[in-house]
Amino acid sequence: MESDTRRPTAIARAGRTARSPGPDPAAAVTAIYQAHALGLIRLAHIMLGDRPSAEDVVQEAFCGLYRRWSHLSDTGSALQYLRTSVLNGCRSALRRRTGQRAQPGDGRPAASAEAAVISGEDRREVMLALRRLPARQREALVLRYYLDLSPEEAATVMGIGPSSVRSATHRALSSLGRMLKELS
Amino acid sequence: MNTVEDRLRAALRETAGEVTPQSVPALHLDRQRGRQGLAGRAARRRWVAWLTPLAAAASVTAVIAASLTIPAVFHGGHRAASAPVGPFAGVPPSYLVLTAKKPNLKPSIAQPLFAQVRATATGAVLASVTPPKPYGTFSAAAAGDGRTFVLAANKWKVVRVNGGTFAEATSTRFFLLRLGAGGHVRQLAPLPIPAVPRGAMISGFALTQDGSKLAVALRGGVNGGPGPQIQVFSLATGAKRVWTWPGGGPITNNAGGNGQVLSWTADGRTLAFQQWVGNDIDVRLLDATTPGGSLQSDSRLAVRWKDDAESFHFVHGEASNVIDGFSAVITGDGTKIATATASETKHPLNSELAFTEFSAATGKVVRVLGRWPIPGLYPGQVQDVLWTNSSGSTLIVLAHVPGPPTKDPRSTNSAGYQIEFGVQRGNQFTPLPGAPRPGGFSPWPTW
Repeated sequence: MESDTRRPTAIARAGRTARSPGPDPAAAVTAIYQAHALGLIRLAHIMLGDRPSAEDVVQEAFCGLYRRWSHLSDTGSALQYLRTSVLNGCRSALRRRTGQRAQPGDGRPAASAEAAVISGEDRREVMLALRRLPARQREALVLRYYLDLSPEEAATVMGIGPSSVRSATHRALSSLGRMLKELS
Repeated sequence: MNTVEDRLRAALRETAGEVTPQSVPALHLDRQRGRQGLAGRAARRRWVAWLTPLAAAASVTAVIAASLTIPAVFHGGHRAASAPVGPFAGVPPSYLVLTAKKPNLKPSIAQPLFAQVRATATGAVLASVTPPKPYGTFSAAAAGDGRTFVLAANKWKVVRVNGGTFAEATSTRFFLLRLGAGGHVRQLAPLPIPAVPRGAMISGFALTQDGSKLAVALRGGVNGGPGPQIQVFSLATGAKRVWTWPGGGPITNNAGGNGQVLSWTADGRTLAFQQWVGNDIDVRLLDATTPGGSLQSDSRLAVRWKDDAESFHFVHGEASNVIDGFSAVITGDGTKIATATASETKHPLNSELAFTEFSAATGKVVRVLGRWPIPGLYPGQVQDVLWTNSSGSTLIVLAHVPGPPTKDPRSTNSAGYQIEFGVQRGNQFTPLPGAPRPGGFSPWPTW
């Protein structure tokens, strides 16, 4: 039940997206989707390592936003809510994944094989090491080094304190460095 | 690109670049339009986001008489569960699992969950329990002595907005389920549990073995909100005691897995709970004989998994972090904390998953069961402890399936293993026949 009880409560907190809800929630959410879907799918793709799941997570995050739209006291918080929701969705997807490994793929070429060829061994090793980190450290690194969020911004998305983000980031970089050294 | 940071930024940027602007699918806020508008791969996607939060806490304002029974929701009960023998001797004869009517529906749509009582030794369904009206779904369960369970029920309110169909989380109520000697349902009764404030996040709940007390943990610790809280209710009187920890870390398992975060000793005097403190995971023991008050001062630290992983040396070298979704269950005699662990050795780099028991008195490792060495880095594999006997010699666990890893063709993760439920006795693991397949949206079974 924990996965469901950890949904974001930050929907009313201050955010950064300057979207007006407008009279039609569907139109407003669609507009936010057009502006931010790419970045959020990329974020989920980094966290999960596969596109279909990343798209699923983002779709679900937007459906959740749509469902909660009338409860938004500050629609400027939408992007922050979505980031938190996407991270939660990624955690859930990673947990579910072990129980769904045997399901057939969707026929697309394996991202890992392509990626390894195109981008080289270094990237493969970094992403491999990144996915070995504990969830909190991995999230901290992605938010800080991919989205370039400040510790305070990352803390809001992760639902922890800025000092914890700094600490997690520091430890994650150390662990990442050690793992990359082992792999090299 | 010499520094770790540079390499990381480059890798993240390149990985993100695999998703091109042209490849972003259209948004479908309504399920029917979504199904019609997506084809092929996308049509098989899940459309469940509006349904999954149903397990979230909602307000329950009424205090319900515990004696009320609701007999109209039972089905089955025609097969008896005898005391397990052989490899399953000593474990509870039956367990509770939440399931949907069509668990394999494609695309998988979140559905209301009902409870099944199953025989541990055979997996045979002994009875089915659907939520009494107006509640539409069960969301979680906790076990007492193997014949007494608590179920959390939520309303399943379907609303239509702007052409879309959604299910809203409304209220949560706890029900006590009693099984007869043969595993059949004897009683389902609402518990005298007072309101859980709307928006509060329930981390978990646990029933004492004698079925007299229910502990409910509220997660807390989010963005300066109220700190974590544990409530203990007497099921006989409805009396409530509350322990709070303003500013304390959230009560949760490591990363929000399916495992329980609370467990009782057999005498009902000590409640073990997991807490995120900074980057560490703590297992603390609450003295539940106190009248309530400070969660911090009435509990003590039993085990700490430090984030830097420097403090454990129970494998051949340094141990790594404890990972996602791992329960920490106190044994009935209160002497040990049983949990699933991941560790890594250095030089050479190797990993090991195991079920490790820590002394509740000293926090030191006292027993390691079911060691599973893995060459190289820890592969992100999930294992879990779901039940322990009084001494910790026998566990019911979620463990890997022997054999080679299964590669997910859609994933860049290098390896994954199927997982299954079973009994771990010493180093002997026996899969539970007929047990449900882990995964999906259902919580783990409850013993």
